[in-house]
Amino acid sequence: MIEKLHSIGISNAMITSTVITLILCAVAVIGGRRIESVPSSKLQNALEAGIEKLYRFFEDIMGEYACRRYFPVVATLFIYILVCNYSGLLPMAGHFPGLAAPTSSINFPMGLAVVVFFATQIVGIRESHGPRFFKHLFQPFAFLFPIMLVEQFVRPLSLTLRLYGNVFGEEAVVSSFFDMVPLGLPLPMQALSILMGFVQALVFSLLAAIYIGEAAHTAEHL
Amino acid sequence: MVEALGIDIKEMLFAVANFLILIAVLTKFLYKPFLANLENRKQSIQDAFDNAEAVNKRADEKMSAYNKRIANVEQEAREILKDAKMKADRQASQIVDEANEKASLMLQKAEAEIERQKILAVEEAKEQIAMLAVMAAEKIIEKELDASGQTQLIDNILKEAGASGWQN
Repeated sequence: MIEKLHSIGISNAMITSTVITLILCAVAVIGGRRIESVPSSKLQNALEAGIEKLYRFFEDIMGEYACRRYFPVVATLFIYILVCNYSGLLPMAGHFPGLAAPTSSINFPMGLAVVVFFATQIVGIRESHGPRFFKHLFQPFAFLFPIMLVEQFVRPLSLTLRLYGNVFGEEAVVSSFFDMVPLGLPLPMQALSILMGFVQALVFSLLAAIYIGEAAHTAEHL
Repeated sequence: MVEALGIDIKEMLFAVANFLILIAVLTKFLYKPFLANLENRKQSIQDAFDNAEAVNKRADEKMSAYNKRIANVEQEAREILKDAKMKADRQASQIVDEANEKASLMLQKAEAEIERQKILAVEEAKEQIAMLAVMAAEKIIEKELDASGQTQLIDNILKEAGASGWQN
């Protein structure tokens, strides 16, 4: 069946990312099905604690207003990237058919970075009620416009390369260690990649939060 | 170049689609209900605190009112006691005064009675003595006198007796 999917151009990363999406959706539906004001289920407790921590974290970065409106985008970025990174830690990830960390393929981070790029522009336009938002490219001085423009396009590129480079590099190192000494040697690297997976998810969503928050606030000051 | 970098538009679109679906589902089932629940809980805790504070305040007010009332009651009781004591003292002294008055009245009455009795007794004694004197005189002189002569004699005797201080 996997071969069939491969034959129609569905890659392992696409399969894994779809499975992850389905699992996360299932967790959300099960967890959000019955919410009690005095929680008795461990799942609700865990989800509440996680969501509140994330909300407070992004609230500090984006400000209260922007966080209230755009929290779903940045929070989902963090959760999705985190789970995708950790999917690379599963046994035989990258070798087993249909299982590969989506973030180790350049297309996945690039897709997310493009979403962040468009989200930033849309938020800016929405908050300033029109294309007035692009005036910020000419501030503080009009002659800085080319640099400001380049900055806007460098952002998704840097997001893409940072995430892809880290995950791909880590996987490459683990795999070459595995080739040298299969037992034991890849372990320290795998332990490090637990940390790395978290940090990369955090950095990606943090930068996205900064860009979106900035767009929301820039609109205020135009 | 795009292929050399491994960029595949289809895979990218797949990632974007997955991500957008995830945002929609997580927002509906996770973020919105959970954040609303947290906000509700915060509100209800705040309400409970506010309510408790109001109840405490009411209780304090009631307590101070009761304390004030108790203090008043004590004061009133002291005053009532004081009044009663004064009344009782007044009544007692009145009773003693009345008794004293009555006693002195009775004493006066008794003295007057004694005086009257004394006078009566002296009168009686005078009469008896007079009779005795007459009888004695009769016996002594052994002769009868007429009625006027008798009376004169008695008067004489009495006069003599009075002059000698016999009466006292």
